[in-house]
Amino acid sequence: MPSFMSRLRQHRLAAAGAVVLLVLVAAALFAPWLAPHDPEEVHPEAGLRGPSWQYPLGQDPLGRCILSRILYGARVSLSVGFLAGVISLAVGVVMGSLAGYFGGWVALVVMRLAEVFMTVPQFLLIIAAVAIVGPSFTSVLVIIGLSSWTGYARVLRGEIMSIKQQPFVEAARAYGASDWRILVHHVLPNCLSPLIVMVTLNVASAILLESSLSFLGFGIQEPQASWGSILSQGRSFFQSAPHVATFPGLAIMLAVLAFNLLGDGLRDALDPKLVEQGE
Amino acid sequence: MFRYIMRRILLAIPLILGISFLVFGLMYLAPGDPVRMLAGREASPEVIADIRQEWGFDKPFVVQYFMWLGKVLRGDMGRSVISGLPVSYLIKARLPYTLKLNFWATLLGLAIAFPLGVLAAARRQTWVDYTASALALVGMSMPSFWLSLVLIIVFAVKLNWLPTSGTGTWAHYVLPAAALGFSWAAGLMRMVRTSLLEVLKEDYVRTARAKGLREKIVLVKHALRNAMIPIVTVLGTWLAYMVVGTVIVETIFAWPGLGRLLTTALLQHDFFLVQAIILMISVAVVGANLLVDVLYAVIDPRVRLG
Repeated sequence: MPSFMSRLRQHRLAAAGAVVLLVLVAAALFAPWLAPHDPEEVHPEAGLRGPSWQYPLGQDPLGRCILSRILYGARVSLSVGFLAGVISLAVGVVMGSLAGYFGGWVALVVMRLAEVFMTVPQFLLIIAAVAIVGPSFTSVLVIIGLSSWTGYARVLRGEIMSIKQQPFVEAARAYGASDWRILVHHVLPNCLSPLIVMVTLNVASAILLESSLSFLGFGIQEPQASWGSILSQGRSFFQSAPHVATFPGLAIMLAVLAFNLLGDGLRDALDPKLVEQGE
Repeated sequence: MFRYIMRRILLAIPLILGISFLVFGLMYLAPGDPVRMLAGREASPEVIADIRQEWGFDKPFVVQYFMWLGKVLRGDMGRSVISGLPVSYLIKARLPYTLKLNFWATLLGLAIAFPLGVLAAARRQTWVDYTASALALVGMSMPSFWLSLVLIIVFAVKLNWLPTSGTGTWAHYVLPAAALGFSWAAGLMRMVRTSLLEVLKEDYVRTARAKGLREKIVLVKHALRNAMIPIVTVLGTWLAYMVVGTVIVETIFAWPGLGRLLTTALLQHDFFLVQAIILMISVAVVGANLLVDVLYAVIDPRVRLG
């Protein structure tokens, strides 16, 4: 563990990513104290006004404070990212464990299902499902989560299949440990490194997916703010008032970049041999 | 080789069935009465009854699925609720625009990713590598819709060099193809760099250098060819990348392709059209993956013999 921490600290870019993430999370948590205005307070007469002392990042078409909306939007965008990541991790771990540990027809069914989910382009699946269920904070995050499990399942299955052959698992079985106990106490802890890296990249992709959905109008709905939906508000006016679309876009990029940097660093620190697990 | 390819093709059949089941199941959950959608608002009760029977909407889910599958296999994917035109006709009209846009975006992406990736690996840990890698990381983290907007602001609004929408001339392709190609190139460039670095550590590269081959030949003839295997895997996700990008970029640039057809269909709850587009694109992805498998076998004899 100490060598892991020192390797991670050596990775300056990853450290920068972690710092940016902490700042963003803090901004989301303390939004009510940091925001200069109420994010839903409208001033129609001041619509699309550019940055000023009172409104540091300018005002949106309804005259709302963009900085305040980005701060509150961080709550929505980051929680969609994290919660969708948790859901896909949970589903992926269950599926991957079933397939890897039990093998046979269970593995066949799980892996075929994963193949189907990997082939249908994820964005199409999500956008259609959200349109059918109806867009909301919950539907967006659940649907993104439920459609991103395949990477975990595939990697975990491979890891478990190789760990299962190790002597310490055989020893546990000889002791009379149950399947469940072997899986949870002996096998899964040994699969942590690839999973941690994947979660980081998965959250980044969930944030991007949510912002794309909201940008197209299929995600978070007005008056709730997410980075994507603020940006989409500025879409029709970006020729005359580019600031409305520019700042939320920077926020998305910063968050995704931070997660990607952290993911890269974690990968190098946890396992130098681990190759890119492109989604 | 032939047996390997046949095996791949046979394995694709259950996959396509699974996809069709997923797509059908999704649309089964869609709100609204599909019979009314197909019949239109002013249909007589007889017409409604006919359609109900033809599509089996009075039958259980599984029967409905197989009746639908039978129709799809014969090329009938239903009609658009809004325009009343056959879905296959609408898709055929839009497909060429999307294909052309994706072609140029892909070409641009390859032209950026390969030279930059090879250069970054060859000049490892110099400013060339750092700049290229930083560009790639930023490109991967930048949402394509934001990149599109920035490109429009700079090249269309401020400099007034290029048009923002329309499809008439080559100039209309530049911005959408760039928006689509750049984000794809970013991921690909990273992959080219990593796999090339991996291969450059191998003994046969040292041998090639030791016998006095020029570095250019070592890089391109010996290393890049072996680095192609992981790179081809990423090329397999090419279509999926393009699809997502297409949906967004076409919407922004008002490009009359499949992506915009899909978003409009979703907004209008035209679910037969949505179903057909998703099914068609997914089958195309199966085809692309099949092609990648064949490419593997061509590049690496171990795959087809193993």
